[in-house]
Amino acid sequence: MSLADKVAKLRRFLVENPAFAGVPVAIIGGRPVTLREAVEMLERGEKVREVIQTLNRLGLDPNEEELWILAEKFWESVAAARPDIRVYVLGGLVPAMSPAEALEHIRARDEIGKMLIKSYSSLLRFVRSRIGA
Amino acid sequence: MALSRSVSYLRIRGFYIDDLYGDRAVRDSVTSSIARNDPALFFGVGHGKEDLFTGQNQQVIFRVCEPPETIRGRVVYLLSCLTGAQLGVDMVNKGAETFIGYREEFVWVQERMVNPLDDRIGRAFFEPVEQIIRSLADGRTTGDAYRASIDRWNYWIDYWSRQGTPEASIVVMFLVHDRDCQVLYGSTTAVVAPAYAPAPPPLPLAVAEALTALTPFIIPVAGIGIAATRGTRT
Repeated sequence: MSLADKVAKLRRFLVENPAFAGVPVAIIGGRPVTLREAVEMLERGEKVREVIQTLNRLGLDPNEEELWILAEKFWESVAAARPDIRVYVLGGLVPAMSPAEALEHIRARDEIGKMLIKSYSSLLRFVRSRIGA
Repeated sequence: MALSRSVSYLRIRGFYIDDLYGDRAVRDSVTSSIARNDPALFFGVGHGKEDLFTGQNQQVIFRVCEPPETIRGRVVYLLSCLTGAQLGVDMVNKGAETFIGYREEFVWVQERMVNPLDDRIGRAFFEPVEQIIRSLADGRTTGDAYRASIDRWNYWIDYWSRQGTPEASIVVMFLVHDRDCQVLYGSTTAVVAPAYAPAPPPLPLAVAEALTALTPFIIPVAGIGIAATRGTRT
C-alpha cells in the first residue's frame, strides 16, 4: 500500500471512528503523539517510517515506560474535558473515581494505576485491530 | 439497583425470585435459600476476588475449595470482579452446570448518579449484563445468552467508537475491557427455562423505566444475591 493510500485509509478511519482521534498512541520525537497527530505527520512526510512502524505495532509488546507516559497524557485530557464523569469498579480496590483521581493513580503507579494501564494497553491493541494495521 | 429490570423481567417470565438484598445477602441466607428453592439459576452481584465472592459488608458467600453442594447442577452468573479467574473454574469443576463471570475487574463509566441503565453512558455497560439474564429467562441456552451479551458489548463498542465526544475513548476502553474479561465455563447448552419464542426485542424505554421505578436505585457495589428458581410459565 502506498503512503497516500495508507494516509487515506487512516483519514477514513478517523472520520468513521472519531473516538480515537485524540488517543495518544506513541512517543515520537520525545513527546506523546495522538492518532490524529500521527496521521498529520504522515501527511507532512514527517518521520514516516517511525509513525508507520508505531501504528503497525500499536499495543503489541509496548514499552512499559512509554505506556505510563501515554496513559498519563490520555487521562489528563479526559480529566480536563470531562471532570464530571465517574469510573466505577466492582471490586475492593476503589469503588469510584473521577478522571482526576484516575490520573493520580497513574502518576503514583500504584495498583489501580496498573489496572488502568492494562485497560489502556488493551485500548491501543483494539485501535490497531480496528484500523486493520 | 442497576439490575432491577433483570429481576422484573425474570418475574414477568414466570420465575420465582428470592431477592437476597442488603442484610440478606449473606452466606447463611444464600445457602438456606438455595437448599429451600433448588434454583436453576444463581445470579449474584457483589465484590469478588479471584477465589471468592462476597455479599453484604463483604462477607464471603462462595470460596474456592469449599464443598460443592450449593452450586451443583446450577447455572451461576456472578457480576463481580475477578471471580472468573479461579472461583468460576472451581465451581464448574465441582458440578456447576455453567459459570458466567469476569476474570478481571468489572469497570464502568457514568455521568449521573442514577441507575446505570438510565445513564447515557452507563447503559452501554449494563445492557450486555442484562442481556444474559433476559436471554436465560427466554429459555435460550447459556451459550446463546453469552453470545447475545457479547453482541451487545460489540454494539455499544461500535456506537461509542463513532462518537466524537471527549469521553468516547474512555468509554470504549472500558467496554472492550469488560467484554474481553467476560467468561463462560462449563456447559454452553444449559437452559434454566423452557424456550420462549420468539425472543422479544428489548423493552421499550417507557416500560423499562416504569419497571425500574419499582425498586430504589442503589449503587451496585454492596453485596446482593439473587436466586431464581426454575420457572413455570403461565
